[in-house]
Amino acid sequence: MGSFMPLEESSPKPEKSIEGQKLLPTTPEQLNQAIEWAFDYRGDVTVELITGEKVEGYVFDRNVHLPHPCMKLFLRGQSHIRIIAYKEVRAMIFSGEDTAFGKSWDEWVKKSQKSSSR
Amino acid sequence: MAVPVSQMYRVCKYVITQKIKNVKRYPLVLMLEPLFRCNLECAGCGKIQYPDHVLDRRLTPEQCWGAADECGAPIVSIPGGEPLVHPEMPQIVKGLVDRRKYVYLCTNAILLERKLIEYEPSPYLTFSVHMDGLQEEHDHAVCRKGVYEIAVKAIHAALKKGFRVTTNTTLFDDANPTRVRRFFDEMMELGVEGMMISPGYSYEKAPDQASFLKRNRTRALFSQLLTNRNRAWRFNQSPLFLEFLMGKREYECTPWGNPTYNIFGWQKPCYLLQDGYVSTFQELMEETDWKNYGTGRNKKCADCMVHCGYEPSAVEETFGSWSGFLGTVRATIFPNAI
Repeated sequence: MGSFMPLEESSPKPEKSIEGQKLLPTTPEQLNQAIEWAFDYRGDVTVELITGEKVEGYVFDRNVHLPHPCMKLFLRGQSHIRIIAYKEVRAMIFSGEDTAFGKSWDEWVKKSQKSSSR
Repeated sequence: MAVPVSQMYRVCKYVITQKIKNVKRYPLVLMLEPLFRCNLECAGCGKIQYPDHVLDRRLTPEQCWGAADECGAPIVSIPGGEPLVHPEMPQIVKGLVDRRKYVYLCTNAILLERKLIEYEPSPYLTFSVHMDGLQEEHDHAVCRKGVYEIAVKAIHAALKKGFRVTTNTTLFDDANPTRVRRFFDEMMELGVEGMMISPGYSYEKAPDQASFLKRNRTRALFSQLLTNRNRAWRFNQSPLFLEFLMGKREYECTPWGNPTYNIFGWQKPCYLLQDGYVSTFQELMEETDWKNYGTGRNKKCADCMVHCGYEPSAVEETFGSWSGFLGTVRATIFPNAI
């Protein structure tokens, strides 16, 4: 079971991929940070609600400035949008593949050098 | 000039109308992204890194037309993803052309020759083909060999059928000015109407982070490219924007000038940054905290000199003062005078 990453001052996001991490926020600031990272993450996340329900989808928007802050998700195989209030969230799991991490430019260069040397 | 007189007239009329109405923030080009699915994975692109179920989502023709009606900009640019992958793209384009929007359909041209039969040549429709340099540089930038040849063949085919064709070029850290100038010669020899150039934006999500230009280097590169330019080169961009790229002018960004609509909604604040979404164009214009963006105001904007934010600034200068207007005339007639 993962634990919450410590908040750093003005911390934008972790430098390594957070794929596979589980965040259990215990304060409103930690919750805001977790959802911000989920919004920034280019993969699906699993949101554990306080009801016990688990919702997996892509967080494409969030608004902390509303009277009742919420985030919006696209769910796999469904056309409608799922809206989840911040106050419903118990945990965030970065369960889906991080599609923006690990695609190395160096790997592509190596592949192209290998194929041109054949 | 690369742009037809009818289009220039339409844009002039639109901007002057905004001035007369005292509209402080007006859109010039709608960036309409109907999908993010692409048939390439270019290392410099930060637009396509999403789970498959997100890449499978598309805007409907009705959503596209609705966005164009809401926004009111005279020009609609359709990037992506790869727009030609969208099965309803011919319908989308027809609806926009019927609305007398000047449509720039951006494409890597891999599907273009095959899909030309689905489109009608029109003064309102331009295929804007992504070409990042001569063959070696372009295939390297798009991470696939053979794409340059396919694109050149498609450009020939489109021109032969009477379509308007331009190129759009993004330049990165490794750009060789001598070879880029030769690339400009080649593109004009192909017979394209004009070229659009821009420095690449350092998308956080793009795999290649090392190659993005910083502002000073951007200015140095574009100064080398555009000084003593070949008179045969035609750029379908504001000449003042080109001077900005060369470091001859300073502008603040105009992020509302090229508003973006995609599968997530209206994107705040601009085409390059993703800071949230709203449901209507009016919300975008009224609820975005514009003072939080721009060079010096946001670290994500620090090195940006991309056309989507700064070309509207150049257009604003053209129509904002007599000196701007006369400067535009001078830069158009005597591009090598500075």
